Amino acid sequence: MRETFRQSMAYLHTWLGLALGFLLMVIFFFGSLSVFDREIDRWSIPETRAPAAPLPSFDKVVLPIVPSVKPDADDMARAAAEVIGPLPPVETLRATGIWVGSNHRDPLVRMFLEFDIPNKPVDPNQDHGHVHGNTAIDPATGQRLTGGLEDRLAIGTRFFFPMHFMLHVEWAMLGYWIVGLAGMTMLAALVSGVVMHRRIFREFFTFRPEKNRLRSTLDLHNMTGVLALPFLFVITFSGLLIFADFYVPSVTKLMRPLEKSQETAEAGRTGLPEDPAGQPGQLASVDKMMSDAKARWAERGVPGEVGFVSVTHFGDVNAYVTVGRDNVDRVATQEEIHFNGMTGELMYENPPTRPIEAVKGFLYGLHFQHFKHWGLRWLLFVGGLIGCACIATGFLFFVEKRKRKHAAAGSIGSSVVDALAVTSVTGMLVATATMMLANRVLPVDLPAHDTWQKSIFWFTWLATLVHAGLRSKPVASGGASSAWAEQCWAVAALATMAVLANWVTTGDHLLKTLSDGYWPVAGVDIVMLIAAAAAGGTAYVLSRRSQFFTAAAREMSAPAVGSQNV
Amino acid sequence: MSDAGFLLAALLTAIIGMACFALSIDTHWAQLLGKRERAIAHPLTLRVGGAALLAIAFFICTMADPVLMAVLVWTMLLTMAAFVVALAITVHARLSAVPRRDHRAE
Repeated sequence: MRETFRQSMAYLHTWLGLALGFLLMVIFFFGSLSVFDREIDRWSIPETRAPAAPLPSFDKVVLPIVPSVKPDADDMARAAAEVIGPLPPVETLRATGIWVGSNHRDPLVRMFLEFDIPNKPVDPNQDHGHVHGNTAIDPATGQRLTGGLEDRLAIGTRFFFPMHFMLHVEWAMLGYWIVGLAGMTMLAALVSGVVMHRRIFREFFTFRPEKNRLRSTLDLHNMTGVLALPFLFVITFSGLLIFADFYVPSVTKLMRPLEKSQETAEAGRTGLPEDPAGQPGQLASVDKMMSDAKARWAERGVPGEVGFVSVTHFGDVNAYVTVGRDNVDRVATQEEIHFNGMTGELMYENPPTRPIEAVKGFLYGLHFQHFKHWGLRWLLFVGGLIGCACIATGFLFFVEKRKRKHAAAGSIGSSVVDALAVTSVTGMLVATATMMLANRVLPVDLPAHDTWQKSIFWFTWLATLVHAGLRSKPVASGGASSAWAEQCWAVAALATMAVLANWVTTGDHLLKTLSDGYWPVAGVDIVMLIAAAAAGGTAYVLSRRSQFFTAAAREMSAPAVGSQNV
Repeated sequence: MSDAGFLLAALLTAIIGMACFALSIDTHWAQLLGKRERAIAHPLTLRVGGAALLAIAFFICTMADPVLMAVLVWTMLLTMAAFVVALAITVHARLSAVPRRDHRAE
């Protein structure tokens, strides 16, 4: 019974891992990059390479900008499809909600506005519709970003980060579902992996590169999986938890009346108005509220920069202002003080959270990583890459174990898996490095600059798939695909070129950024150089090995040919 | 000591702790120390000592960071420490294997 359970777990681990491992590779890799999303933003938009700045004056800087921000055209189109009747013209819509925020890693102030629309929604479960607009403020000038900078693609937060949680598959929000499925698979793979591992403690530290390829690949797969198990499990679980409301929409969709009464109860408990009163009101000084909040934090002895300010029911007598702390010193987020928008009086301070909320806040916080702890940030980045290594060695093991059997049976199974593995490991790196290079090389005034970068990414990735497919023939006869080495060479070349292109186009070479102590750009450059060196080293070893094998094969076949002639 | 100093100290402590765990496994003991007798280094002693060192590493982490943050740092440092020990064993095995093979060839 025990043996069959282990076997069934092995079966589950192998086939589920194979089916969704390619996606997990993508999710883990871009998740790792997202740990440094703001830094990649700075690298990809050189005009914004500035030190991080605190939130500027709300009254003098933020409020005057509010009327100039209009709802996003895409969001208007989305809303138009969800409501009854035509939407009012954009010019007549007024902002009813404001959110501005910044953090210790970001030199820009991000601003999101919400506009109420009067139309009734088609779906009776939604009570009122909104459209949204957003912009970014340069705290140095106190103005909106100029010169088309607002529309430039911030590769970190706008491309790599969404790739991590929805793969840029927007249709029917399918991307979110796929990532959720992959996350569940990861949890199942971790548990089944532990069950099927025979000597988890005895081989805890075991890696034997000198053994046969099958054994050493399995060693590496086990070692990366077991040693990073706590990280892998918690990061996957917390990721799923973040989208739990979306995956299991019981509260928001099915129990609408319950949610409504929950909202009302919440409003009663906190004293924060649930709805606008419908009478126009003038906002009191928000700067005063920010300094009040800071004074309260100082009293408690916690670091007190303002992380965000939001105004709910803006322009109404029921307006209230929420001031959130930039949680540099703790894992969990969500530490807020609420003020009456008309009088500036304190209304409610989030009380010490209940245990279940504290656990949730901790798990959210460790995934979103708003804290200021560079050591931990790097550790989590490396943890994500170990996850990638674990998944990649899983593919290698799958292929290594089966390719001779497949070759004997004339099956192309292992060569197909090998080609897909090449695409999802080295191909993904090639596409990423190419995008970084394209970001620096494409002229900024090129129309659809952002679309060009994204298209280059996708088409490069597609090209690596084609390349891997063309080169995978030897795998079908029990050999090795040369695509691995070739794409590693490509990664080495492209990543180095991206660093050089950054130097040429901006003048920010490593010596300069390091001596200035401008780590966001220096860090991205250094990681790309390390990646280039690692890829180059791997490519060198792989090419030498294949030369060795080709030579050996020739030596072995030569006498055979000779004897035939005789 | 600075926060970075504490974290480095925690990492070193964790590495020694993980090394104790590795030495409590017979295969690794033989790999690293050859046929030397386990005089006082009984596997259980090594395991208890290793666990104590990992606990001390956590204590050092809490000196640099608030407890909840230290939990995360410590967990990640344990993973890194285990990798360092595994890598050291692998490299040691490779280095000690090469001359022996030469010997045989002669």
